[in-house]
Amino acid sequence: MSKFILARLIQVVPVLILVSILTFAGLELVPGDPVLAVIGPAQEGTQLDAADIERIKEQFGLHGSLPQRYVRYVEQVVLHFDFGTSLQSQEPVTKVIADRLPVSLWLNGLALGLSVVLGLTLGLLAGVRPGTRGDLGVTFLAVIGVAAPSFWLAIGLIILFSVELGWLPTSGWVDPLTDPWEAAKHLAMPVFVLSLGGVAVIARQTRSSVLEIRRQDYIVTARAKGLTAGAVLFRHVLKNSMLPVVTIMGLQIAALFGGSVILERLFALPGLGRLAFDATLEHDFKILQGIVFLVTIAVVTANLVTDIVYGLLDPRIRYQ
Amino acid sequence: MTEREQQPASMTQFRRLRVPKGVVIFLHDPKAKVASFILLVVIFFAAFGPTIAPFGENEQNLRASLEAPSWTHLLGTDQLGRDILTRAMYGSRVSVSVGLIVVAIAAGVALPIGLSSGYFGGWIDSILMRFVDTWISIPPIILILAIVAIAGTSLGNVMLAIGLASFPVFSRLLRALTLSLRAQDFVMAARSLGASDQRILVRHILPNTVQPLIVQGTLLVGVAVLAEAALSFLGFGAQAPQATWGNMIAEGFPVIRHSLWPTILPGVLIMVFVLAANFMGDRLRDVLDPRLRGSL
Repeated sequence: MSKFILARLIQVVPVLILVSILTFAGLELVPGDPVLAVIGPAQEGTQLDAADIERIKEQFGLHGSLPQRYVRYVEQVVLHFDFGTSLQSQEPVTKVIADRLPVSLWLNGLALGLSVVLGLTLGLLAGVRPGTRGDLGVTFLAVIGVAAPSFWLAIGLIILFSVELGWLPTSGWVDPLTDPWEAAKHLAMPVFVLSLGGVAVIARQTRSSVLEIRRQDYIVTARAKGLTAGAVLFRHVLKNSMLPVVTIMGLQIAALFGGSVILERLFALPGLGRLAFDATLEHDFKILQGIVFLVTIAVVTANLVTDIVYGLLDPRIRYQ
Repeated sequence: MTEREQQPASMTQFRRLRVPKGVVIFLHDPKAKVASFILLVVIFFAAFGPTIAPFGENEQNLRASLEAPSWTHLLGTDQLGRDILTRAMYGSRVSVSVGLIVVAIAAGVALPIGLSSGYFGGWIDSILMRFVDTWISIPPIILILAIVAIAGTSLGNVMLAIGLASFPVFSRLLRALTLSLRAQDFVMAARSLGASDQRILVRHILPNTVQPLIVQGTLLVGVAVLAEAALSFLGFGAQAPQATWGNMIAEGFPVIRHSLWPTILPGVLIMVFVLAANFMGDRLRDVLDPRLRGSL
């Protein structure tokens, strides 16, 4: 097993190097003078003398040749975990991201949890009784979850639960550690909508896994031994159906971050998605650089953990 | 051994796929029929919308704002009194264009990467696939926002960004297909006759990857339309007053308490179009490439 983990860790190294090159190259690709890009449109037209330009270059790490700048960027990121300074707020990028991170962790974590619980339950129900109304209902939900725009579904929920029924607030953020009940009310709609895509994918996958596994010889053996239907379902079918779900969970993390950009904007949640949206509008390339780097590292780590967990659960993977 | 049995597996397979039987199966499938009909209707409106639309794209009538569907305005009007049906027709032009152009960009970027990676193998394969692995690790919307921030806000840049964010799926598919094709007898035969790598790739391998690419492209259309709608809704895509389905939802949202029509209808259109594209992709996959059935 340790060989398997080591091999997977080694595979991550080139990916990390490429992430650093891509995020570094992103800022270099900004058209025109990078100094103009970092001072932003608000100050364009301001007369800058050579000393000002040098000072700005020093401040934002734009001095020196391209390889020198890359080495300095990697040094700062790896040794000091420093992504530079926000071009708009002039605060350290790491601090700005750290301030927004808890909101995204709550939103994405709860959405991932709900995706797994709902997806597994619905997929299991549909797979155990294929062709029934319940199965058709789950298939329909899965289809809607994949095809309907999340922001459009969110608008529908706002109209129903906030405007018509008045049960839930339309937007805003309350820290769950401060006031759990209010936080639950604020997060209910965004978490539900964000989880729908994952519910759809996990339910479909679980359904087909359950259908496949129910035909296997060991299930017939388990039944022939006299095990109850519940024991067969939970001890044999569900356990083996969960394996592909582990892989999907890893893939869902990237999808969740994507979905949260739109939903954090719509529900006025001050998370990383909203930060990415604002940074795009304000051309704050340093913030975007930091977000792309950190989110990609998070996704790479999640995929690594997923692979290792999969290897632990299924010995066949380790020996491939 | 008959002549047919002596041919390489992939050749007989692809020859078999060209027979009308596959088309017959496709046309007899109810889901494929519905999906084809929906896509044809949308493509028809995209092509002839400006000719048959009852009103102008931005023709305003403030005295008829937020009207429910009627004989004059079959799908109602928005807050500026613009005809929703007309704007939906114009919006379909954007969605169809986005679907086609994004697929073209993604396939265009993926072709050299996937073909070279699968054909040459070795260090070229390692470098290119690590690049693809890295690219695929960046959440698409974050990547698209970064590209839009660099390139600027416009529909063209959004299409470019979605295409660039989507190419890894094509690259991996092309690599896998090329890996399997390069070991086939007909490629060996071409090589032994002195064909160059370039000729083998372009004349022998590429044509055999077209059908799986069409399937993957059809599935990407739905993803691209959803992404464009989301970016238009956020204000990064086509700018108002241009009618796109995403823009229409964004414009209808502030007045949703007064009328649901401007918001509901474009959303339904997006959903139906994406569903039709997904069904079409699934069915095409079953008909064109039975090897991949249910595995992608």
